[in-house]
Amino acid sequence: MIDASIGGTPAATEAEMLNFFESIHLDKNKFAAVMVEPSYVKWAADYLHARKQKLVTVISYPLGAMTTVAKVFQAEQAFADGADEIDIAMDLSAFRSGDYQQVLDDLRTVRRTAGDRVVKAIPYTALLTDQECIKAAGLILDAGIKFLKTNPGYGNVTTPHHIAVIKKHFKDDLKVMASGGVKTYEDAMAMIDQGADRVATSSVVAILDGSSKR
Amino acid sequence: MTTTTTDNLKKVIDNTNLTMGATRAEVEEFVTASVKSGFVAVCVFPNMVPTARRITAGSKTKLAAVVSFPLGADTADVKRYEALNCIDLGADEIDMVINVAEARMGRFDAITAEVKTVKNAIGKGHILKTIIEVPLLTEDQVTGAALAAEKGGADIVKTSTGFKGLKLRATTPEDIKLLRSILKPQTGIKASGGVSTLEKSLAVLQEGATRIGTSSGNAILDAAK
Repeated sequence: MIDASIGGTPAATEAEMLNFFESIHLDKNKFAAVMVEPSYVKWAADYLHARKQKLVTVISYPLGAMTTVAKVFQAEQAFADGADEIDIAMDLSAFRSGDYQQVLDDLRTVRRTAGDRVVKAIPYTALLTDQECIKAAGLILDAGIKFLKTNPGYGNVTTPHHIAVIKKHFKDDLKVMASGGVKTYEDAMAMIDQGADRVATSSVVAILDGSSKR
Repeated sequence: MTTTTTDNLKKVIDNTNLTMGATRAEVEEFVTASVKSGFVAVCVFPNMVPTARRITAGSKTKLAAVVSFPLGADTADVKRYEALNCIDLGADEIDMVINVAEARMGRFDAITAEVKTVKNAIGKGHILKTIIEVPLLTEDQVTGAALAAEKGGADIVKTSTGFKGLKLRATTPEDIKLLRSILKPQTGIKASGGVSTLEKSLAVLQEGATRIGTSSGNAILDAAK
């Protein structure tokens, strides 16, 4: 139930990406998905798929400020290049402007590019009140997206409270992935205790080591 | 300071609002103030181009939109599509992030190719600024990336996104000095990322910057009065 990403290495080179893939031992570990940036999807798809590992990439990431048509083009390219899942950043400006119809239309339109594939939407829970978290999650669900990814990382930290607020309200209707600041086995377990269905982390090795010591 | 100083500053400042989740009202207020001050350009996210366009239309202030911002980790086709979309929506100028990973791998031909793809798409009538993210590169990579962008048709080489999520160091006058020493005289240089004071602005201009990207344009002007 982990989405694994390299993290910590901005603009990673191919050699750094390969080191990361090797560090998470795909021969013995299987992750829900391995995250790579859009420009690396084509390059990474064969490697990951040969190891029976799904690949997720990110749309309008990490700031959520692209137009809908550009998001659609980016998502179509990602699927053509071999992505199995996409994580879409919500239009936070439209949300904060109270333009919920725009938020909904944007997510719904991009969601359609994915067919039956897993799609997650990122509402930036670190920047929202509890009430706004529930409002954003409701829009995500209305857009036909059944999976919420709390934050994009880059300093936006998810707390177990965010997970509790959303899961308590939506229960099994909406899956939730805790993302942003999940660095240790204890962090991951605290999210799962509140109902998180997945965790995203760039600290896979630390979390697996923590788990094996139990 | 003098009127000449403030006039000269207005001609080079791209007043920038790239605040994550800024509301439309906040962006409208920012763009209105920027137009009133008479900055050469105002820079916003793609989803704010239509909002900003309504205010910049008919003014002397150009509208710039960022593409593949802030990571630059898109294919050339996606960058081309996003840039053209911004132009269609009314942007005058494009500030595009290069594929920084290619620069870190020394594959400068790939940077020339993506810049050429975008420049050919938007055409000569629209200024293309290419952000090379100097803080993530070695001096050799800065040189390679800047020359590759220039070769691809970039009108202006821009130093940094200033993206807070990456905790980048600020652009320095020395960064500008290096770029000025390698680029052709007709290629512009935009100093951005941590250029937020009058003192810093004057220092980067002294070294040859032709534009300044800052979210503090009006504060810089006030300090110069």
